[in-house]
Amino acid sequence: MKKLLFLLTISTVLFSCKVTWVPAKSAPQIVNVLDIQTSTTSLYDAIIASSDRRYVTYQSDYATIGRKIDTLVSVNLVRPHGANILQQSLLLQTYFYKYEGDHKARGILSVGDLRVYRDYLKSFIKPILISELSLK
Amino acid sequence: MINIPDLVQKLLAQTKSALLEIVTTDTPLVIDAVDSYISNAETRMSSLLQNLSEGGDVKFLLDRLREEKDILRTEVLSFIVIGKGVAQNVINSVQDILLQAIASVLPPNNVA
Repeated sequence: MKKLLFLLTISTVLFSCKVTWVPAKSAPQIVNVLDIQTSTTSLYDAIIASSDRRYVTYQSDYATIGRKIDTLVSVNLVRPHGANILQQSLLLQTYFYKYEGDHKARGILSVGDLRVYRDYLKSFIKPILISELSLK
Repeated sequence: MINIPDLVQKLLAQTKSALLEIVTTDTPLVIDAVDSYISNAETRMSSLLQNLSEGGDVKFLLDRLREEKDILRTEVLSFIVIGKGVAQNVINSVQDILLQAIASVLPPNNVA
């Protein structure tokens, strides 16, 4: 009986250590990702709808979204168990700046190119949102 | 005296119930994610084809197609996050059930 109680006590101590493999759900992070999603789509929609599609006109809008993405990356960089979401954020960051860089280099983009960039960025943002929403 | 068969039966029933709850909660999340990724892929391909039909550059199209692997990578990463979360919930739920069972048979002074 003593042996059983000893084993049960040891088990109790062991089982009281919770497993943690993913970060805790973060409302500010979800809000940040939703904001990035909305502002990116709005920016590209605005450029598509405008007759002025020059990069210089939208430079400050690009910078604003860029800062939001940089913040997302910085937060995930120090977030415990956030390695996978960090990789997703880094991919978004890479492609956001790549597409911005193309707009900057070419000065003006066609409506078709802008539409493609908008849809590709959406596809990089959505999985981050799904990851964030899956957390408990 | 501890009734081991009764305890094991209770444990199994509680574990099964906890697992079913987790599966029921998380399965729609995976289905929604798959639906959303397929829909996004359709939108991307439509935009690419429309761009090409409107005189878009073939190099631009090929560059985007090469980027598809990174979209797939980020989508897979979301499934890894979902999977890790599900596994974490399963393990912690089973631990809670075992802990409760152990606590119920231990004298009060031995409960950690």
